[in-house]
Amino acid sequence: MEALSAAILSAAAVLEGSSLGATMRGGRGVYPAVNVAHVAGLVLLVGGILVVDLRTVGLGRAIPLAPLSRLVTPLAVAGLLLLAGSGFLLFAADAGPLVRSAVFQAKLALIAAALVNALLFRRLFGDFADGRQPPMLARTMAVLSIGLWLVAGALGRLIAYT
Amino acid sequence: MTLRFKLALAALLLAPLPAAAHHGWAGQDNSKVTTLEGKIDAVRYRNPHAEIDLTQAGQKWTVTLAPIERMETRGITQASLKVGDTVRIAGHRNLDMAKYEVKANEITLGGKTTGLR
Repeated sequence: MEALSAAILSAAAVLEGSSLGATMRGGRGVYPAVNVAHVAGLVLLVGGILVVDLRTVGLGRAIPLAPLSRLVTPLAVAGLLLLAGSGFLLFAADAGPLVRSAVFQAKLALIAAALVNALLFRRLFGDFADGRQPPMLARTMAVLSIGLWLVAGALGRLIAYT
Repeated sequence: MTLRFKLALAALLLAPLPAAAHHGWAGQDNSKVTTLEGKIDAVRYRNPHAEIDLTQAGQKWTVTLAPIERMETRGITQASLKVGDTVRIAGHRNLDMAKYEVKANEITLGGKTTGLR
């Protein structure tokens, strides 16, 4: 466990000290632009997922779930990729302090949980193409999805305040 | 209100919980302005926030300035901040008194005062 911590701290130091890290810290307009891209990714991901999750829970039954999910899922995936890419760059600027931040660690843990929840949901329930009403477990996982993504997003914003 | 609507609402309301648990930068003392004057020991002209270390009466302080784009817009370039220069800072101190940290509202260099907020 200690060897793993040491390895993580060491990798963070290498990334922070790299020319990528230096560019993120010192390039005029770079950090702000990447920050904006990160927010855009969050909007794409959570905006869509929230609507599909609320529909899964049972709001807006007039809208068929499968076509809604088919529209939203690629947008959410695009958002996730944008978040991951921009997130890695933002991380490079300040890797050492970030990897030690409890808020940052919690945020990553919640993202991992949200991804596991999403993949498991897909595995168990597919896309409800047959028009059936989602069962209780599906509705519970949808509620969990909402909570996990919103709290992860909030924690991202709160890193700056600790 | 149906059960499912209540469930959805509960999930949405979970989000602000972390916000309630934090005070901001471990809290800063907004009741008074802390002023510092000393020689710059170190400069970190970088994003997300530029920082300087200075020594006042034998005590080392870390001063958080502003993002570098804001600093440049207001005329404080990397060349403006040199180790050994005397600088005056007015701002708010970290409530954690074990940390000698100030978030600068103003910086005075060479007789000129610039606002950073």
